[in-house]
Amino acid sequence: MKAPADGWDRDEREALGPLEDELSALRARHASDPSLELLRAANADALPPDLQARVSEHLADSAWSRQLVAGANEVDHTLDAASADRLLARITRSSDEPRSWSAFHRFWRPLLATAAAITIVASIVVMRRATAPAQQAPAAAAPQTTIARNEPPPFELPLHRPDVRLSVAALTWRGPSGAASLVDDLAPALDAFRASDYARAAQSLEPLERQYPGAIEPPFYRGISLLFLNDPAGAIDELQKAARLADSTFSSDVAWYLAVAEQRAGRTAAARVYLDAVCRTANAHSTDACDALKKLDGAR
Amino acid sequence: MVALFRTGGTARIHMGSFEELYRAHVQAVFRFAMSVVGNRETAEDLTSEAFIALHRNLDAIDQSLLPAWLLTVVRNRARDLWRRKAVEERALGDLATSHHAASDAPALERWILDTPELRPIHRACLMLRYVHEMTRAEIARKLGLSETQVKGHLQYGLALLRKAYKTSEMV
Repeated sequence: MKAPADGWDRDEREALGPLEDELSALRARHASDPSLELLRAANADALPPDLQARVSEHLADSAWSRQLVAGANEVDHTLDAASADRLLARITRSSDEPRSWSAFHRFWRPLLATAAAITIVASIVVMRRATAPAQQAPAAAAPQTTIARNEPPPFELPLHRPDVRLSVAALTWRGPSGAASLVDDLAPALDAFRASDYARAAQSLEPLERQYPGAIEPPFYRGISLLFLNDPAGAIDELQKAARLADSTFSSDVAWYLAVAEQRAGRTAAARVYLDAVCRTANAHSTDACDALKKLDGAR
Repeated sequence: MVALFRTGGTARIHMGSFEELYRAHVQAVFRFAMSVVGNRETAEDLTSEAFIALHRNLDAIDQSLLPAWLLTVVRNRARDLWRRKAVEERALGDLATSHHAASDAPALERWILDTPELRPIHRACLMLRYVHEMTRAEIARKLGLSETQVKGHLQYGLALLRKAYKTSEMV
């Protein structure tokens, strides 16, 4: 009989010897069960939607996995006084750091600055090219800088509709008594977005941007809607507004869609800046971003 | 209305009131964080992120929403972690969500699940040790117990098991 790495003790050998076949059958039956960590997270509804759906389905069917979770949840985890004090000191230190050193400066400011610089350079190159024939006689073919390219790129970043999710700020927003919540106001627009009716989503989200200037959902989902409506320039405006709101929960998503929008606007270099940032940090798009960088490098 | 969506500047908060809220809710938040990530270090990180978010939004938050507000922060951060993990470990994509009909469960599974003398923690220890083949140290780490506690739960379960098959309830 197979034993764990630390081996059976005598008690275990005696008790389990007669059950060898039963145990083998049980191991085979549960070999592809989700891990305990996944089961517990699903039980607390704390997984991303697709994973949550799959693991919840398993949990609903498997009394075995439900008991495993129940056992793990029976243990009461507490922070001792010293750990609680240490954590409070850490929280206070982090909270006292100027806000400027939070997500915005760490992630967005260098990115936006670099992308903006590339955009400006690209625009200048395009303008110079446009005015060149009037100023210069055509000469022998000169080497051309190709920062801005208007021809379709050989590799196009894929555009997928993300699962709709809401920021903590939206979920906990409270208005004047009796006022509808942000979540209620967002619902029709996000329903349209979910149904791939991007024209209606973009139209419904526009007034919400003015009504809730600090909420990230309207510019984020409007930006993606405009991308689907083949308006990359409009999408960039919206996504940059979302980026300025510096919600760290959305930062990698915003950067990914900015990369898609920049590439579709013909600014591959700016797209590359966003892809590079997404690739460097661990997030839902990092693998795609790293792959895309390789493909873009290969296409050069 | 717009106060919650401030994007710049941190209001100075009376630390006394923040600390009171921290003391009142930290255990519930930490316990919840443990249940969604399963290890102390990450659970402490999530707990601390939730309270940092609270600190930054304290003047805009309806305190009657606590601790639910804090748990929502933990849940969202945990989703991000799992999303990241799912990307890093493509294996998660192969989750063949196995379906087990209770009717075709082997006798030993039915015994583990149905024996009333076993508490969920006994069952979890038996499952992890004898079916998922973990060492006592691994079980202790996963469940937040000491190895001695794990050993005690296993001994209790095995004693019941032996009694069960000796009285022909099994095998």
